[in-house]
Amino acid sequence: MSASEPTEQVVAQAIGWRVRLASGLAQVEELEACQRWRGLHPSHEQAWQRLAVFDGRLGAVPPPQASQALRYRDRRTVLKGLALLLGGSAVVGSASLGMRGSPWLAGQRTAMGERRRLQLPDGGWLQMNSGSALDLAFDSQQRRINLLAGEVMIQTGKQGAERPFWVETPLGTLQALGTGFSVRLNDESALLAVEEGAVAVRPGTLLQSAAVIRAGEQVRFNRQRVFATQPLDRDALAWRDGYLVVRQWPLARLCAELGRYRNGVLRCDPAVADLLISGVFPLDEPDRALAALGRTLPVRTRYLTRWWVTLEPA
Amino acid sequence: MSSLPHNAQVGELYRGHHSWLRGWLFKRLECQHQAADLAQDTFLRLLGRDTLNGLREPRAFLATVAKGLVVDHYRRLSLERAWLDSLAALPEPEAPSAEARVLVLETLVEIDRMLDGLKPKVRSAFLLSQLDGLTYPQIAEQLGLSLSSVQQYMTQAFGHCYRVLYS
Repeated sequence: MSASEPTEQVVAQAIGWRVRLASGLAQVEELEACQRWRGLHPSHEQAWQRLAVFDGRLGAVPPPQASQALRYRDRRTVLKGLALLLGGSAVVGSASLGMRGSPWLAGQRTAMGERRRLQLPDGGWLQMNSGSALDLAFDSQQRRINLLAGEVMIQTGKQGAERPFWVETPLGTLQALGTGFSVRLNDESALLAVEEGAVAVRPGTLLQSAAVIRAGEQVRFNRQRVFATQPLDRDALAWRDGYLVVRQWPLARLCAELGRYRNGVLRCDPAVADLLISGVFPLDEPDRALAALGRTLPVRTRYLTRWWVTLEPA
Repeated sequence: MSSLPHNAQVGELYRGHHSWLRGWLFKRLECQHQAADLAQDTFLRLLGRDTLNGLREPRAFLATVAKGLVVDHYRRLSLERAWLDSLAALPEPEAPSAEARVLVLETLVEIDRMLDGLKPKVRSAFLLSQLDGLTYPQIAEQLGLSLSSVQQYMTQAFGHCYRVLYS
């Protein structure tokens, strides 16, 4: 063993220093003490350097990008690979990756392109659209759904209907008044569409007064206010049956919408962004929908990879 | 076969078991092209090894090497997707060149392998600290952990990486 080969004990000490100094809470004195420790013996410095585990390993990848990719890489795909190797069926479940408070750790989550229907304990049901996440909390006092991302359609049930039924979103709180409705969260605002019964909506905190939206109406709201009520657009509810219904949409809007149902990047060349399109597109096969565009519009889809697609002039 | 030179040994394995290995891989990948590619890669790996002496169960051995490649294949797929998603979230996403893609994925696969075996939260805490430069209080808040858990996770992660890389 060379003089600089760290012993187990030295490695443990070096780790202690690394852990302390990475905390963001270390004092100058500690930094100096660490430097002294490193100078005591070549093996100390060796162990210290070896623990800079990302140094020289990132190449040209910006660290935050690497971090994001490594944290959000779908562990289920890797597990699927393993399960195939083991010859058994994949135990994929809902792998809890990522962070609390962000959609990934929600009680229920749908992947891109996935729709899921759940039975509710009160006899009702809900259906989650692609890329959605929510927590369910049903107890003797209340029925509560915390929508974290995406879109959900809810049909409340009758069992224990005296308990209030709440849907919380980051932008405001909804209270179902015996009902069937859907909520779609966007970045800046949310859309509430009521098919049956009525829903009270309170933007932002509970201190705001509620607006009541009735069957056949829809409304957009953000943290500050509820916008003007509009007639219900039933086309927007067709995802429940697996379709996207489009009437005279600019291609860019269709791209953005289809992008919700597939992984990766779907871009629209500005040269064709304003072309208008109508049609019914199957959501389970968004790539087939893309391919079909070329038949009615002067566009073609260019695949850089399966996850990077551009619509461009044919 | 121990008397043959190394290349000749691989050649013999190739002739005897290549189509079997392709079939074995096809069952696991459900794609002819991928199966053919990985079968090829498996034999390339063998060329890089020191010795194949004393090989009694060539198919079991080939399968072991191929398994590693299949795991990496799926690892690469999921990393590529996550990486492209992270690019798409940038204000002005630009399609990366094929060359850049290969390099970035090589890097990510390497690091992902190094982190193999860490629990998801330990992994996240470690990445947030070492790549995003977050302080422990920030990490604790983001991951819903106590400060002492973050500290403990960091210790675990450093130890893990050290063992993977140097022992």
